[in-house]
Amino acid sequence: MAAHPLPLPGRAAPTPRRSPWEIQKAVVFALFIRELRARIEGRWLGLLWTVAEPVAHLSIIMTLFIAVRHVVRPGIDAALFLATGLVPFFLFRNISLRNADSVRQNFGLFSYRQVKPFDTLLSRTLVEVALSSLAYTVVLAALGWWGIDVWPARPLELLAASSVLIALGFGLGLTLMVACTERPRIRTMVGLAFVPLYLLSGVMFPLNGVPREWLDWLLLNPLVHLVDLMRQGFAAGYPPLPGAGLAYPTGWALGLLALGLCLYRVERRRLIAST
Amino acid sequence: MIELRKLTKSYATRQGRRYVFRDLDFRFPDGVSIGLMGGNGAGKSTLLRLIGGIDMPDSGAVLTDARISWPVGLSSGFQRDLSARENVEFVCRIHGATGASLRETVAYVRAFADIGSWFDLPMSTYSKGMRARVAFGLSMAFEFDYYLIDEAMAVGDPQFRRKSREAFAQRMGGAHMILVSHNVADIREYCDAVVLLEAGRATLYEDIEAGLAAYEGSDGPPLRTRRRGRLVADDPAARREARERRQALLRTERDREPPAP
Repeated sequence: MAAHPLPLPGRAAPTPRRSPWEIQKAVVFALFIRELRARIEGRWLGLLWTVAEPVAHLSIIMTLFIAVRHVVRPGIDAALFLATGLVPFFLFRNISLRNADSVRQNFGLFSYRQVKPFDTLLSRTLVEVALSSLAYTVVLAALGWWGIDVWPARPLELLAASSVLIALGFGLGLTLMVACTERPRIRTMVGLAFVPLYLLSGVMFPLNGVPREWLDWLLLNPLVHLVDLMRQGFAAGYPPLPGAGLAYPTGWALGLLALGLCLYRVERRRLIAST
Repeated sequence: MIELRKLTKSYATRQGRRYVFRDLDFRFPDGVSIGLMGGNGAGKSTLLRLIGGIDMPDSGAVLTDARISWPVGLSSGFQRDLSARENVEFVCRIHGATGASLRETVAYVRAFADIGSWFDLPMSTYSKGMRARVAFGLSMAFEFDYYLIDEAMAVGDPQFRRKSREAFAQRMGGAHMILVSHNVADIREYCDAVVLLEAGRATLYEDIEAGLAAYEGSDGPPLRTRRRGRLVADDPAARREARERRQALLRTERDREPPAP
């Protein structure tokens, strides 16, 4: 045992004055690493699962389709059709639901005054995007190895649709996060709502066979637009769904972001205050 | 400088809203360590959290230009699935310590906590004492102007308690503390002034003894004079001895330390 006290670390002092931007950058980066570690490093299964979930869905549904010899849609391969629907949908679901939980699950962290709820949202979104990109890469590489043309035909449109999807998920997650602090049951209801949303977003089956008057209703769901736009981005010969466009989901994303930011601004003190 | 401006904090209860502070204006004296005292429920811990910026007032503000620590020895910020090393790295990063200074801090906390290879195992496997050792070491690894301490000064076995005190004495060379305690001996040993919270008001006593007398007179819990292990209590000689020991420790530390580059 040391007889003398341990020498204190010298430069570990917090730098005297950091700009808000520097602090936020440091906090989001630190949270990103922490989230990633908590999700993955603890168990390799965690990483495996993020990649395996879309792959598992894909293979089950593929088997079904092959069994019934169902032609999905001209102009796009069935497997690519599914992959381009499933991965973005899971990304959207994970961003919004995991962000909705972020305050509750990170409450201990707000004891460090630098950490604000918004930082946990940003870092969780970054983690989800990173993991999703990994899953996408693995799935597409596998499909490419099978001889399917997976190279995006219109990469910029694909990127635009993906950005809107991420913004939409973030906006929904932000709104839910604030709303669930006061009313925790909203979280359960939204979790349940994701099951019908999964079926109604054109993730698994094409919507072009749906009668026009029903399609108008389905098109109220911004995910239908985004999923279809992403498929157009991948396959050049993919016939677009009539009525699908970027403007409508962008409106949703901006609306939810604005709503979420307003709620956050109003409730920002109460989110981390003890009640 | 730490100043409270029109500070209001309330909690919603089933019997309506309970105000801890209502439009509290107060200025803490500069350059001294402060003992924050008051009966249970007087709002000591709440005020400490408000000063630390980890709880928000209903209205009003805490104004400060000092660097204020998180509550010393706090372990609620630890992620249990991660190891102590990873948790320490996280705290380093949010405080802007990266690269060499991050490694230095991690090494310090590791040496301070002295829990061997447990340091790299998930914190969910730790005992309460091990967690406390890491938490205390982490608090000591960073330099602040004010350290916030809520009660728990002494954790762990006697050896660790001694080490904690030494580290603390080192830190107190350039810093001060705001100590919430019912323990008269701790207040006497560490603090230069007493702030007594009572019925939503704060009163400053520059003279510790006057503050303690007022605290004893208030409707607080019975006074506790015995600290675990050692009895300093009301004996002025023992008090003087404790103070001298603390200062001697500081002096040796100053002599030993090479001049800053």
